[in-house]
Amino acid sequence: MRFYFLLIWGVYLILAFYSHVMKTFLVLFLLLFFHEMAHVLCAMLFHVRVSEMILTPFGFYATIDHLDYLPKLKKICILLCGLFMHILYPFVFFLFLKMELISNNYFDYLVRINNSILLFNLLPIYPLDGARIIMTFLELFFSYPFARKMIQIISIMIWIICFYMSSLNMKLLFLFLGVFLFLEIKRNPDDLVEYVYTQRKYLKSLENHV
Amino acid sequence: MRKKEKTPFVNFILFLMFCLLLFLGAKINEKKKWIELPAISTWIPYESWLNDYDRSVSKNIEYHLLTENIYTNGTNTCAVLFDGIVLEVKDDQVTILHDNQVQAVYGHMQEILVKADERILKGQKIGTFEESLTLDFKKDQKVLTYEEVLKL
Repeated sequence: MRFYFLLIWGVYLILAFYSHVMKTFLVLFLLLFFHEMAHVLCAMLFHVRVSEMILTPFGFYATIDHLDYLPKLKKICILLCGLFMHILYPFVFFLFLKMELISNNYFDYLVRINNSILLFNLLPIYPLDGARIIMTFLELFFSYPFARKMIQIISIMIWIICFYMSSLNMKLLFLFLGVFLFLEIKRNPDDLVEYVYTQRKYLKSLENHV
Repeated sequence: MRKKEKTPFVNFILFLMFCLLLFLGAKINEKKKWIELPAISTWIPYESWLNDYDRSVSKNIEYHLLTENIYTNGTNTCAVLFDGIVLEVKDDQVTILHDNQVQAVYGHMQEILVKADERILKGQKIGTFEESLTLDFKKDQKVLTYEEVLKL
């Protein structure tokens, strides 16, 4: 597994130090790190290869190989693992509160941030978890290429609405997300051919087995 | 001719050197004030979604001057005037760096409810006081009055 970090992360780190927000910055970093590690660990449990992890100032991004080709149940498990972490975090914060490591005010602030991240991840904007869960659901009724096209259209529409309505600091985040969405839309359509070929090969092997 | 590939270790060292350079540059700039660096505390993601809509009721915090720098607000709880970071917590005072770069010292507190390096939002309670508290404001080494701070 390769690990990359965008150079802008270093700039963000320096600015965080300069602005005295290192504590909040580190908490955000850990929240997002463990969220992504939950996805990675679940993938490794299912013997699915994780090729790379990219560290950005707004979160982590793990590339799980052939996630779209996995059986739907395994895919849902991997996706829900990360979101499940956000249900555990308030208990961890409560523990810190009891150990007097943080104040009541900060506990409320951290719970707010945690809820915000959870809500953000549930947005149906590719490549967030929400979009992938919806796409898995669509695959139950439609073919993979059609489901993928539908989720791309939904992602663009929701992205535009969210970008328009959000505050300035979230606009920056949505801009960043927009880049990933654009890259996904531009992704090599040969991937779809490979997907169909892989699925046919898998089904044929099942037939031969029977 | 085959191109020599940099080892990951070299990339890591280059990244560390770049960060060190940025850090030294930021520290020199703090002294010389060549460029106004943006306060990243105003750009923390996930804090607010819509244009301050969820900061809800305008949370009008008003302090009334009694004498010199002694104020009261009609209650015995001290609420912060703007979003910021708690820089320091001493015996009976809290120093806060607000997002508008004003450094405020809320003194004569009876009980302090925050810890150092915590992020606080406008209107949040940071402590309690008996009858009055002291408010001192500074920005760019210049002392400001309460009215001047409210206009920022």
